[in-house]
Amino acid sequence: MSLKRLQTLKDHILPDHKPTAMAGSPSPLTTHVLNTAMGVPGSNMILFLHRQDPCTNAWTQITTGITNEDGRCPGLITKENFTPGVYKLYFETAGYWASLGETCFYPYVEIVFTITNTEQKYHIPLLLSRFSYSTYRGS
Amino acid sequence: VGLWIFTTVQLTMAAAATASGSSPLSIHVLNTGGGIPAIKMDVSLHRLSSELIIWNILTDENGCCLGMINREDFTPGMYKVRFETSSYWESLCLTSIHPYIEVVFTIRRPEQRLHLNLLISGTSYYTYIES
Repeated sequence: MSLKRLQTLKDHILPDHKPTAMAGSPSPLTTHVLNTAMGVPGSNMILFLHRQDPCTNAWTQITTGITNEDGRCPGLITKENFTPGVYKLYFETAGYWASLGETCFYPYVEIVFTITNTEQKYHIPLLLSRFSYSTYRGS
Repeated sequence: VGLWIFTTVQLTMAAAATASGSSPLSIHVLNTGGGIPAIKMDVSLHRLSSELIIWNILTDENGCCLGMINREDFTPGMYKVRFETSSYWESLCLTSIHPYIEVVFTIRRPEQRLHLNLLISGTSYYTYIES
């Protein structure tokens, strides 16, 4: 996928390039994508945040975004919307590696995690290579 | 809306042991929090195609899943391995931030032989593939 195409997609997702969180209210949930194969941030990767309905188990999309040059995606969710429950971060890894002219064993990565204490900050990074990835709970 | 036809295959340990020698996919789960193999974890392999097939197996005393699928069924396409980590941690009276772990991968060559590793703790996990 070309950089021009990625920019077009980014404009569709965030047309005003504004973070989805309210100004002055940093998101209580953050992520950071690192390309461990090349030792660089995983920039321009499309991602989605979902929350699971506890009654139906259906997933509802909360945010779409694209990582910046640091591999981060500010404004994932507002503090008001950050309720206890099961969430999922979906990373479009195939498109990311294709933009680098590479293939990847993982067409996408989904990280499902449970939020119990919304007074805490949650940092869910993704460290990625073509044949491995890891994640951990940070703060 | 497509019509999903799926089959679930529950492997017995005997069948798994018999098939393990020729299985193109093996899985190993390690509990890095405790420094031990993750034993008796429910693992399922899903072939994500129009004919969805699910294979179910428990990890053995080494944390391994052997003989999960035979060579004829391991055709090119997209697969998902789901690890029921929540149940596993509960059996140890522990909790985890990850209620389950799913690893999705693509098989491009039918002759590929893969070993999928998963290292878990209550707050993290790492997966890598050996070909």
